[in-house]
This record gives sequence, structure tokens and C-alpha cells, in this order.
Amino acid sequence: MSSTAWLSRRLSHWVRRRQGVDSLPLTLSTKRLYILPTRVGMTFGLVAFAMLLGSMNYNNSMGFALTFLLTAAGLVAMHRCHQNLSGLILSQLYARRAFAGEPITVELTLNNQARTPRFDLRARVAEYDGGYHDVPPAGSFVYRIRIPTQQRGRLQIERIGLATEFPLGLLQTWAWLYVDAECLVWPKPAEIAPARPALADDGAGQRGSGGDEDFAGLRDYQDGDSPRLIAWKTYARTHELQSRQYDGQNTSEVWLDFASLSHLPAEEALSVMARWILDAEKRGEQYGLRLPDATQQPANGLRHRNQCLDALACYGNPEPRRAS
Amino acid sequence: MRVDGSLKHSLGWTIAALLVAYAPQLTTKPIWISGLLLVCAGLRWSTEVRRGRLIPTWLRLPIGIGCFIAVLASYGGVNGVAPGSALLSVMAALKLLETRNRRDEYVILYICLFLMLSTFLAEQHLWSIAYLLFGFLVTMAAWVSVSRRAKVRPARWYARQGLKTTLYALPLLLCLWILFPRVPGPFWAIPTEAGKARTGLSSTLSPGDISTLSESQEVAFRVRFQSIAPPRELLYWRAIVMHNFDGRTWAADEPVYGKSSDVLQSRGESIRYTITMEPTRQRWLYALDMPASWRGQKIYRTGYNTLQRMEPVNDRLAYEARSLLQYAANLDLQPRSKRWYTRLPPDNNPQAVALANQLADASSSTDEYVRRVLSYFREQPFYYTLSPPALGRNAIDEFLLETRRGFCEHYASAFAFLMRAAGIPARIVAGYQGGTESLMGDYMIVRQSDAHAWNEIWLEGQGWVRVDPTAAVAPSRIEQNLNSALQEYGERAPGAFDLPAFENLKLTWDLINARYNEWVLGFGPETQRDFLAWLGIDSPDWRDQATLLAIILTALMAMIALWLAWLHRPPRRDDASRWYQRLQRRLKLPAVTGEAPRAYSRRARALFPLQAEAIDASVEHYLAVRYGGNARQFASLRRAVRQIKRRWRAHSATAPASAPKVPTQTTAKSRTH
Repeated sequence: MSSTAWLSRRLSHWVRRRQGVDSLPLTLSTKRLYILPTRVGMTFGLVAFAMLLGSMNYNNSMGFALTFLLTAAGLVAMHRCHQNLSGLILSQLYARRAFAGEPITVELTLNNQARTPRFDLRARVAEYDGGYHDVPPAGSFVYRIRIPTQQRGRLQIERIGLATEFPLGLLQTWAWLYVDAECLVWPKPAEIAPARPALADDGAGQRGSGGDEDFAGLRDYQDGDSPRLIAWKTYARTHELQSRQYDGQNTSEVWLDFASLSHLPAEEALSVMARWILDAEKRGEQYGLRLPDATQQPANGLRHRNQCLDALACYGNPEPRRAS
Repeated sequence: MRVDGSLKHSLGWTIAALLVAYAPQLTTKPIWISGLLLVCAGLRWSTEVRRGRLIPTWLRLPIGIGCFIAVLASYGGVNGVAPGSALLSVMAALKLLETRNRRDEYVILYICLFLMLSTFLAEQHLWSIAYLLFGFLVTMAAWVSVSRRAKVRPARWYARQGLKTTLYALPLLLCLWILFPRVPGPFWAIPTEAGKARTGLSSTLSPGDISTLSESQEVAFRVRFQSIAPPRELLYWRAIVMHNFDGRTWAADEPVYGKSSDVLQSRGESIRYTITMEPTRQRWLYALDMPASWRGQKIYRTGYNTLQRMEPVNDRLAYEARSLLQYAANLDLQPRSKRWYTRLPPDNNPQAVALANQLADASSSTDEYVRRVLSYFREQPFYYTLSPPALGRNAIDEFLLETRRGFCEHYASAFAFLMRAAGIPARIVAGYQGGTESLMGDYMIVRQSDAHAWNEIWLEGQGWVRVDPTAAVAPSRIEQNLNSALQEYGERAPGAFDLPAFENLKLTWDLINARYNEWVLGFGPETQRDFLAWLGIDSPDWRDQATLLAIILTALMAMIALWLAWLHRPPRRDDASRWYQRLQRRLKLPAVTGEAPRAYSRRARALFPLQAEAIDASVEHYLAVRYGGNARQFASLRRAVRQIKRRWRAHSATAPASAPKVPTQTTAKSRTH
């Protein structure tokens, strides 16, 4: 087992040196495709050989015919297997960020420009499997691959594997694509977070969530408004997106400061800050972020929340970890 | 272990493949094996459908051992094709019971292939081709279904994949068939299947032997003449010479290696022909009277001027021979041989001896005696019949003087007796007489019903001379065929099978069979050499052949690869799109996935400011055509694209400017507009 693992690692290194790093969109040309018989294929070959010996011994013509048909099917399967992957296009790679401990979903789009379907393709990111799927003719398929995470930081998606054993499972054609892509893993929000230290300009923060209940009116939807605030009934009537306004919103600014948590270990402090960010966002507060290496001006909305969490993930510029 | 039902689809196909592979053996295998197979298939299938439990190991093991012992008991061993395939069937049935994953299913499919092979080892008929293709198709469909891991597709998809696999394999099959070097086997001893009787001649001749043969329409051999076929009355195909008479039965003893080649003299033309004989499991071969030379391995001529082989003919055999139609054989006969060929058992058939003496006294010469005997047959009320009355101890006496009803063996036997009684050396030749011309007229079919027995007598100065007493009684047997002879004697009414239409059908069928025999079953090392010679490749050794095979196989595979690539070509774009593509090709700047035309136009104009105007015009015209344009706009599009100056090198910045390297939500995503 270890020797196969070693062999496959060597092979992977060789392929990487040979191919270099790719950028998208990426067409699977012949020079990126590798093909080798599978275990089933090797048994198939042995069986065909045994049948050849039997036919020769008995000088049996129909036996020869069966053996040759089998051999021919194996040979054609080689071309069909290769053709099944050749010319496919890896058009998009999209990774949805996640909190540490939750899986990251990588979306991988395969484009088939041919007028025939591609059958039984498997996509993997590192060793995480996206399953076997067909790609329709002149169409595409999106693989959703979940990668588990443990720690916040950068997750490097190094190797994408596409493989097929279609039609007979005798041979495997595969391609390894090296894309220099990274994805961020946010710190896991602390379950129990200490209360935010009250800062001078932190007034509204203490008012609790009661302020959300005081409906103040509607305003035009702006990027970053929470979907929960959208007045869907109004949208259904007027086809205009509007957000509900509540009293207590936009009234004060909150600063979430890393320095205030200096008594905690760094990772725990980041977890607590993640919790604070989520809470503040939920309350609709204007919150800002102060980290030793980054600062986010107070704002509100999904985009702002994500930017803050990204900053937490990148805190201390952690080494990218490989997804494997 | 509980099954989860995930195999359902591939299991259905696997069971189907197994049943198809087993089907031809349904009648030849013991009933319990067929039963076991069906029961196991049914059990496993219902387990899968109900998502029940597999039969536990402690139950499977004794069943397996029991079945193995049952096979041993049924066949008395495991050697040979029949017990081997029985064992395979049992294994497949039991394997089904424990099938829980792909690997188990693959094992069953391998067994299917071997079962099909064992079917062919047992028998190869014309329908075997159809069976081969159908069985292979089903097995491959099953194979695809077992290999497939994506979402299950409808059954006809697997059937189509099986069909595709088979069709793609056919050209390669043909190539391998013709060129794969055939090595004369066998490598290991083939277990002989003793007791499997074949219809055909035997080495003894008793009354009634040939008349049973005459009912059989089986083909004995086929012959292809290299020149015009000789007239029918000369088509005497000799196989066995019998000379040892015990009063009732004529027997051939073990022939000696012939030294008779020097005693056969040509008295006229000779004729060449190729005989393809059906297996007889005997050593004799057929040859036209009299074989002078022959080509073929391990074939020799006996002292009786018949051809033999050192090994029994267990497979269809083709050989070439040359025969003399006019000849003089063994002009000198040793006194010892003369005594041998005139020997009769003492105190046997006294009336026949008396008749011989009576006729001999009346004749002045040997020739006249022969004539008198033949005219005795002709003039007395002899009757040619397939169902003669049973004869007692003095069979010749009874036949000659009382019953006078008989078939060719009766006449030959009586004639030889009468000759010997008068001191003329005589013997019986068993073989075939006549033959049916094939539909295309290029070969002749000799059936078992053409079996015949005639005589040879030795005359001073002439050697062995052929005499056919049956011709004296029923000349139409020789001139036409058995049926007409029997009809003449009211033995057989002209039935439906004698209608010309049916005869034609029979001949057509035989023609197809003969071609199949020649090109499929008989295709061995020699046929291959001949065929390659016909193609202009003279005496290739196996290395040349392997090289040739490699070249042609590679070429064929390249063609298949091209064909597959062509099938995978992108769908034809509409005309406007093709001009848009042409624009991109001219600029050597492909549009990126998801890049809208105007975005592309902006990017291209930025890169090639000199052509900005033409690019803009092209893209705008393209959009105009795209969104409900007319022919004039299409013409403008073409004009605009043609004005684009062709670039010869791709621009270094073919990819759109990538997003800033700061990790964002989308880290490696193509730009979309």
C-alpha cells in the first residue's frame, strides 16, 4: 500500500512538473490525459489470453472469434475511454467559504462542447470525491465537492483530478490539473463569547435586539442588505426590492477590537471575534473591526460581514494548508 | 448481510448475461444444474428487490460442496469440456447467491465468457455466429452496467452501449481473424469424448449397414474439383476396402503402409480436387477411384489404394488429392494374395457355390463369367429396397435364390462371394457414390445417403477392376441418385422433400454452411497461408504476420479513434456564430467562456487599437444578425470580418486580466461579464 502511495506521489510530482500550473478555463487536451488499465482490465487481459490458449488448443474457430471479439472490445474501449475525457473544459472553480469545522463546498464546472454526452466522469479535489456524473452534450455539469476543515486560515486547492473508466471499466483515463487556488476558512465562532467591552462610542450595542422590532419604514434595497430585511410582500406587488428599516439601525458604531481580548490565546480570541461579528450583523449594528494587521471601517451587511471574517481568517498571514 | 438494492440494475443485466450464456447448454446439461441456476438467479433477484438478506455462509458452504460432489458424480471427473462447463455453471449459480458488489458481478461475467467458449468447444454450427454476437452484446451491456457508477440509466441505454461495443469490435475482429498467426495445436491433451457416435461408414459390412446410413441427410464431405467434375457414374469415392469374409460380415483388417504407388499405372487423364470432410473419429479418408497423389499432413496411402491418416479425423479436415480416372492397379498379384482374395469360409452358402459353379461351367472365360453373373442379377427378379427381409445363417444363399430383395451391400456381398467361389480374387469397397452439385456449382456435396458398396475383382492383365453389381439391378442409383432408384422400385413416393423448391432451399442452406465451414470453421494455419498467398503475401512466417497484424490493427484503431473524435465534434454553429469565431481566429484572440461579444470587443479593441474600428463593426454586425438580423446585415458582418487583418501569432495577453491576488470568495474563477 505504501509503495503504491509512494508511486502515485512520484507520478503526481512528475505530472506537475510536466504540466505546470494551469489557469482556467482549461481544455483537457490529449497531452494532459493519462491512461492505464485498471485491475478489472488486467484480469480481462488474462481472461482473453486464457481463452486464446483454449481456442488454440482445441483449434476452435468460434472460440477464436470470441477471443478476438473480446480483445477488440478491449482495444476499442481504450479509445472510447480516452475520447470520453478528451476535449472537456474545466470552466469554473468556485469555493464557498466556511467556518472551521464545517466543510467547504468546491463547485467545479465541467463544460462539454461535443455533441455527444460524456459518461461516468468522476471529479476530485485532492482526495475528496465529487462522485460520478454524466455531462450532457453541449452542456455542463457542476460538481459539488465538500472538503472538511479543521483550522481557520487559507486552504489551498492544489490538485483537481478528473477520471473516467467508461465504457467497460477496463481502463482509467484521468487528468490532473494543478490550479493555484485558495479558499479561506473562517475561525469557528465561539459558542460562548464574553461580553463585548463597552467602548466610548458603543452606545447602541447594548440595546439588545429589541430595537429590531421598531419598524421605521422602507428604503430602496442596497447591496449588502440582509435578505431577511427585504420586504418580499412589496416586491411581489411592485417588483421593486426594498429593505425594511428599523429604529436603532445605523444609529451607532461598534468597534470590535482584538486588543481587548489579549488575555485569550490568539485562535480563541479570533473565535470570539467571529461570534461578535455574527451577533453584531444579526442585530443590524454598524460594526468595525480592529486587528493588529487589518482594520475594517464600521458598516453592516453580508459583504461587510464576510470581509471582516476574511480578515480574521487571514490574521497573522497563516501558511496555506493543502486540502489533503 | 442485508443488501441495499444498489446493485439492482447491474444485477439484472448480469443475470441476463448468465442466462444467455447458459441457454445453449440447457438441453445438454443435467436438469439439476439448469434448475440450480434458475433457482439461484430467482433467489438473488428477489433478495435484491426485497432488500432482504443474502444466504449466510454456513448455508452456502455445504451447498457448494454438495454441488461439486454432484458434478463429480454426474460426470465422473472434472476433466473435459462438458464437466468443466458444468462446474462453471454451478460456480456461477453459487456466486450469484453471494454477490454483493461489483467485483462479484465481474466474476460472473468472466464465467459467462468461459461458458460461451465451452458452448463453442462442444459444437459449432452456423447459428453459433448469431449466438456469439448476441451473447457478446448482452455480456458487454452487462459489463457496462456493472462498470457504470453514475446515475442509473434506462435499460435500453445499456443495450445500446453493448451494441456499440460489439459493432466497434467487428472490424478489429475481422483483422485479427485473418492475420493473427494460427499455431497448429494442441498444446495439451484434449480429453476425447468417447462414445459419441458419428454416423458414417464402419470398418465392417453386414447386411443392413448402409441402408441405415441412407436415411441420413448429414454431409459426409464436400469436394471441389479443380477442373470440370467427372460424370456422375465415375464418382466412386473409396474409403475402406473389405476382404475378410466370415460367412456373413465383411471386414477390413488393419491396413498396411502402402507400397502400391509403383503398381498404379495411369491409363488416361487425372483429376485434382480438394475434399473437406466432416469429422468421423476414424482414420480413413475419402478419395476418388484411384488416388495417385495427395497433399496434407500425416496422410498416406494404404496397400488397398485408399487414403488414410495417422490420427483419427476429429475435426473437419481439408486435403488435396489427385486421382486417375483410367488406371491399372496391381497388375501383378502375389499367389499368396490371390489365395487370400479367393478365400471363403468352408461349408458356407452351398447353394451360392453351386450357382457359381453352374455359371462358371457355362462360360469360357473369366470375362464371360463376370458378365453372366451380372446378367443374373439383371435378369432374375432382383429388387432394390431399403428394407430387405432378414437373412439367416446362409445369408448369400437366401439372398440369391429366395428373397432377392436387397440394398447395395447385399449385391456387393453376393457378387464378391460368387467371384471368389469361381476363383476370381474379389473384395468389397465401401465409400460413397455420386454427390449433389452445390447451388453455385463450385463444389459437390456428398451426404451419408450417398454411402455405397461395390466390388473390385482382379483380372489378369487388367489388375483390380471396379464392378458395381448394384448398377446392374438399379442403374438409376448410379446415374441419378438413391431417391430416384427407390422411386423406380416404388419404395419411396416422391414427397414434398423432393420438390425442386425444397431442393433449392436445401442447397442454399448447404452453400451457406459450406462457406461457413470453409471460412470460419476450417480457417486454420493452412487456409490462412493460402488466403495470405491469394492476397499476395507469399509464405509469411509468424513474424511477418505479426508485423502485418500490428500495422493493420494500428491503422484500424487510428481510424476508429478518428471516427470517435468526429462523433465528439462540437455541434455545428449557425452561420453568424461561425463568422464571429472567424473574427476570433483572425485576431488569434479567443473569447473567454462567458465573455459577451461587446466585452470581447472592448478587450480586443484595447489590445489592437489599429483594428478597433473593424472589430467594433464586426461585433456590432454580429449582434445585429444575432438579434433578428437579415441577409444584408449578414453580408455586412462577412465584409467586416474580412477586413480584419489576420494575426499570425497569438497575443501574449490572451487571458483576461486576472482578478487581484487577494483571496476573495472566488479564488480561481473565470471572469464573467
